[in-house]
Amino acid sequence: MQKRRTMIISVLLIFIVSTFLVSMTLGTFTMSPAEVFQTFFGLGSSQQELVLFQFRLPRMVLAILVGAGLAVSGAILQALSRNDLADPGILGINAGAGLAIVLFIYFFQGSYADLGWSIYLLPMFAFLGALVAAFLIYTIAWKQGVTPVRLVLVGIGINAGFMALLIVFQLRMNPNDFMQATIWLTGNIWGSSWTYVLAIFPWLFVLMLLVLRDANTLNVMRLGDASSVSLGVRVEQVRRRLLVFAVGLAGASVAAGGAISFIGLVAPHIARRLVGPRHGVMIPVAALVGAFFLLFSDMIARNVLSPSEIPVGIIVAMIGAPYFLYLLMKTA
Amino acid sequence: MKKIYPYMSGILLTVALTSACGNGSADSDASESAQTLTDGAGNEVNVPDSPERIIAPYLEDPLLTLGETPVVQWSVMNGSSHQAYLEESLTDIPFIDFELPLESVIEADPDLIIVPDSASLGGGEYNQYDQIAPTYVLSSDTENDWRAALLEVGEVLGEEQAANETIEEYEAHVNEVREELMSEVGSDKVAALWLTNGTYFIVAPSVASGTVLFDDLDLEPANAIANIPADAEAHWNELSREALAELDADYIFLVNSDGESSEALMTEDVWSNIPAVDQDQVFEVDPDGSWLYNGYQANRQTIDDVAAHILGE
Repeated sequence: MQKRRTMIISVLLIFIVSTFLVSMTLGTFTMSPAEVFQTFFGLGSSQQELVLFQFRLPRMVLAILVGAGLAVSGAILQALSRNDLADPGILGINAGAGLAIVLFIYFFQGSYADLGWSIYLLPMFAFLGALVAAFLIYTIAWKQGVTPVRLVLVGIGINAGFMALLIVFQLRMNPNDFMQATIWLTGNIWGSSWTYVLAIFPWLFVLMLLVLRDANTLNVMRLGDASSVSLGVRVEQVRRRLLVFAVGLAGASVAAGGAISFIGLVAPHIARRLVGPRHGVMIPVAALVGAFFLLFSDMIARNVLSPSEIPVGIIVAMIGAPYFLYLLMKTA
Repeated sequence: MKKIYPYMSGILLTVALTSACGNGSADSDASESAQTLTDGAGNEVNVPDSPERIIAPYLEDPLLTLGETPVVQWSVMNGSSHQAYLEESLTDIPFIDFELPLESVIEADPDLIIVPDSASLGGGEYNQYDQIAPTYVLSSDTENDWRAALLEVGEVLGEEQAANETIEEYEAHVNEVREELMSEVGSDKVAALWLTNGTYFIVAPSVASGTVLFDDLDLEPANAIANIPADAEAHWNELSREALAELDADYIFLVNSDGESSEALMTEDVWSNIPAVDQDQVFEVDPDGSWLYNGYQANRQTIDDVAAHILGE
């Protein structure tokens, strides 16, 4: 078993690294693999350096971070709600983060294009928005404790409400900002720079470590509230703490990548199929799957209609939706 | 299970290292820059002395007016939509997507980028464009004022004098045509309509061809145009069937993007009470032409159209 895990993780890492390498050589600006190799070791022209280090690399690193963040967030939510359909997109947490950011742009900024230094505030705002959404879901679902089913149903309702609010504010924007907001809400990581990476990296890093520390608790929570209580877990308190972690991860990811759906849903599923349901292993594997999934999707989004780009969220949905249906049909 | 953590932190550490390395590198070569200007977004821009490879998406009109040709031109979806009224001057100029993807921009190898507003930099952050080439964002008061746009582009290119002269020449030409029109048209009412996807739109009084007809040439706007609130944001406003039936225009310029022949259109009942139809003064103008745009080139072409149809020149 131990051997199988090591192998699966190694294979996933190889997938990620090879996609990373291939992705470095693809784009509108033509660079052969040899040129990329030279540029990587400081022997390229200034143009090549700019494309590789300032345009392509930050974007790929961001894809890895956001993919991993969403996947882990989804894994937590699925364990907490004991519902395999839960993910930050369906539960309205992404919509909450999205709404907060659209409000932030609407009230404090001229347009999304010139955010400047306040980029560092974006994860904060996204987190607050996601937290408000999670708080609403949790309190409305509360009835002498929160049952997983109520959590999911209320989440779907909150999601619809936030989406409606989003549309109201979007309609009041000028056409340019409206376009930007729409593309951003579909989920896209183009035009990302090291600034974004640095803005969300600390969040994701700390939160993921905290989540891993709680892996055992998640194992127990997945058994059900009654069993958890009898095993000595203070259920509501733990649920709240883990919910905040999930919200933080989703918020930071949404701040950088927009409301990308399906990754939080599909990545934990794949991880469970690969290594089983124990969270100490499953969560890192889900993170790797999510990272690979988004990195791969963005490579396609960047190149399939070149020189135009399509929002990566669309590619993710195009790959994720059929897989999800397949999962449903297989288990039903 | 504990064995997993090293992997995890290993990945995260790699990420951190890569980001740290990437940060300090790749400066664009700072060439002999002549002047530092503060652009409309407050950026200090080092504008090169005589830029040779300019990208100025949606500012091709002022650029051409000042005698410069851009290296790429604005377009949507690989040219399925572009500024066709400038086609003669822009033949063989490759298209660039309106979002300005960073890699397309660097592929075009510009030495100066001028954009109408920050929102035009859709493919990245200002800093990333500025690393490719000095990037100048026009001030916001140029949005609906082609003269201001021309003057500001002129300032960036060190062609203020040419810009001023062009505007003077434009006003002189406008005066001349206005005099001639006055005797022919008098206080008869004029409208510009745009038919697209089965819906009629009427031009707002102070933008696109509206500003040419009613501000520059001082023609009398038809009722539906006079009724548009002054602060309406849309350049073209949807005209309901009822409003169309009551239109009191004696001259109509029809931008027909639907391809249906306008003779067939005129037989529809809704047109029957419009004076222009009675007097046979509905003029169809090129749907790919200048009527939807503003700018020196666009306006000159629009004026030529007006003169050709009304004065028969």
